[in-house]
Amino acid sequence: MSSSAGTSKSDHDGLTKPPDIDVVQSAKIVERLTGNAWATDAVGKFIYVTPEALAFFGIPLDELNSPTDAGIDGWRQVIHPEDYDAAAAAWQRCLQTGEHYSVEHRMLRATGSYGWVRSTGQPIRDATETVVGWYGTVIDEDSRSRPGERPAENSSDPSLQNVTGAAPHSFAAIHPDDRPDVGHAIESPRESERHLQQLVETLPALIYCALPDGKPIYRSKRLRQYLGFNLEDTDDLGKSRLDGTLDAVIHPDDLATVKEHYSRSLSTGQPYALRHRLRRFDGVYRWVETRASAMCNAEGIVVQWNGICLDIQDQVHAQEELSRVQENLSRANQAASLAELSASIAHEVNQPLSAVMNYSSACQRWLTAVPPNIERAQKTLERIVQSATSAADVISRIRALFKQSTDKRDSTELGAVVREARDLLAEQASRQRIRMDIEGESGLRLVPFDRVQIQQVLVNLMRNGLDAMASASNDKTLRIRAYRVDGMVRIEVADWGRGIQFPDKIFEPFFTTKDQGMGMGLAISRSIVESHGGQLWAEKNEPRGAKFVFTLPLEMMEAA
Amino acid sequence: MGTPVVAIVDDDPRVLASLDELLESAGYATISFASAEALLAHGLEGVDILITDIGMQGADGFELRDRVWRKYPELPVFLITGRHEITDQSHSCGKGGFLRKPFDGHALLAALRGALDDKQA
Repeated sequence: MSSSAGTSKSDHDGLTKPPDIDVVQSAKIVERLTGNAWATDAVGKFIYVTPEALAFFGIPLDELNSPTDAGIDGWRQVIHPEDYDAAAAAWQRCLQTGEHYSVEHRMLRATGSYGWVRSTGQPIRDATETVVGWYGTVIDEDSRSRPGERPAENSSDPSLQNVTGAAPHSFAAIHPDDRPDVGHAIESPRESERHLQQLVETLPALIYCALPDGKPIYRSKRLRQYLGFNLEDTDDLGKSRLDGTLDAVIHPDDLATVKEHYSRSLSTGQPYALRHRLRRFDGVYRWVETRASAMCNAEGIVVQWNGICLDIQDQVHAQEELSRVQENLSRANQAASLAELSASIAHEVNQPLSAVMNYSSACQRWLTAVPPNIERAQKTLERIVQSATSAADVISRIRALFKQSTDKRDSTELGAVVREARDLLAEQASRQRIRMDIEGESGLRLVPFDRVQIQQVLVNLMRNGLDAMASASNDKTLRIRAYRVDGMVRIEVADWGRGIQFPDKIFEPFFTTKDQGMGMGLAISRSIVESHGGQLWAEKNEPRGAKFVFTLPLEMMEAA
Repeated sequence: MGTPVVAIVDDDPRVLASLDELLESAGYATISFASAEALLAHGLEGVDILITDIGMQGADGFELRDRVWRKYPELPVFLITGRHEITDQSHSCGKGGFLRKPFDGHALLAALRGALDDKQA
């Protein structure tokens, strides 16, 4: 202590030597701890201010004591005008009662800007308990929690205080005039920190902080609850806290990627952003999006990592659902292409057919002319044959088209294709209040088939069935059955509609009983089924309605 | 009046040739074009009737009819379509009419005859 006083004296060469009394001694003890300290006499006149404190205030000792106006102490000039009255009132009260002085206020720094400080003062009493003087210190609250430093008297989290001091939106960094008016008073740093803590704890996100090397040092309440454990709980695993945490919470399939990204960010300071699965307290892995960025000091050195983690499981689900719907939609488009195909087939057949009819009329005219023009009639007949041949070519081209696509055959389970077809029509069925019953033997393995084409057939037959029941009033059920018969699978689509009037004609191209449609659906369906080695026909359904049946070859079981 | 001249526009050469044959067998003189633009480039001087397909690359049959009628509002124009719905919904307000493919050649010739008779009347 004496050596400390001596050092202090030597620092004060040329200055008035402070009296060697108790308050000054006390101030010097404090000086050893915090750097800045002060001592006053019993009425609050400064006796001693440590060099660091003087530098901090930016004014000499005598000015601190000189009245700036109407008998008010000179230290008014270093306290923020809005804080002065409260601080001065507290100081006056302490001087009268002798109670501990502790006030937070903004103080003018030598740099010309205000910063939050905590001023504390303690009375020194003589043997008669009379206050003989005061000593105290000014703690710079804006910088008190430099890395590695313990907070002076605060049990709240140092990593959050760091954030308070550095985050652009924390109140401490906002100019006093611009701070939001929270209630009646401008916040002190403590209040602002509490406010920030509340903010962090109530954000619908999982927040964490980590040291520059990645060691986790703070987790928000939500994150602790989400994980079901806290910082120290992974410390006994014989790994670093970071590795222990990652191994415990990251999905094994994502672990390598997460670690790679982490180490890259930690070594480069680059922001971290990754989607991965995180193990929740209940053992369920959920998709989260984690983002972290480095907080740097003035020199650009990373002092802390702050991270946020959002549970995106529902979004991921929604996205999966969306892709499923889109996939269904594209299948629906393939099914819809039956209609388009019909139209283009109709056009392709119509063109040569038009020519045939024109030539036929012309031929008739040449023959009926007076005298008959046999030569032109002969030529025209040749054209008729040509045009009719080109119409037949259209049909062969369409057949070839179906043949080519059989390369894409696979061995999907038939049940899956039926269910997909049902899903495609579910909307129409529910709109028409039609129930779709599906029953079938499980595990029906067909010889490899073109799933898209067979689905087209099913959708076509099922849609016909729904359409047939559109005007029925009750008992609207579409029944789809699939079962094994003699090495074939037999698929039935039965409706309770009006039934079929022309069971022979309905498979002919362009035959239709509907207002809409080209009458090609059943013709194409039959062509598809036959190209798969099956048959498609129509039957009467009991007690009423129509039943369309098609067969497809089953895969032969290997001989034992 | 000499031999009536019929202009035919269709982008399908098979249909074009068959129409040409049909009209020739009925005693008409024909000029054939594979597109609306080709006909417009050639001009309609001396043409008594126009028969055009509706669905064509470039200007379609409706557009051709409208452009022709600006200069020859009295010219009978027959539109041929392969699509049912067009003939159902759209009725000609000028001279001419619609024919749906495939059509009866005799019906076409009768329609042409009627249009020419109206013109002369």
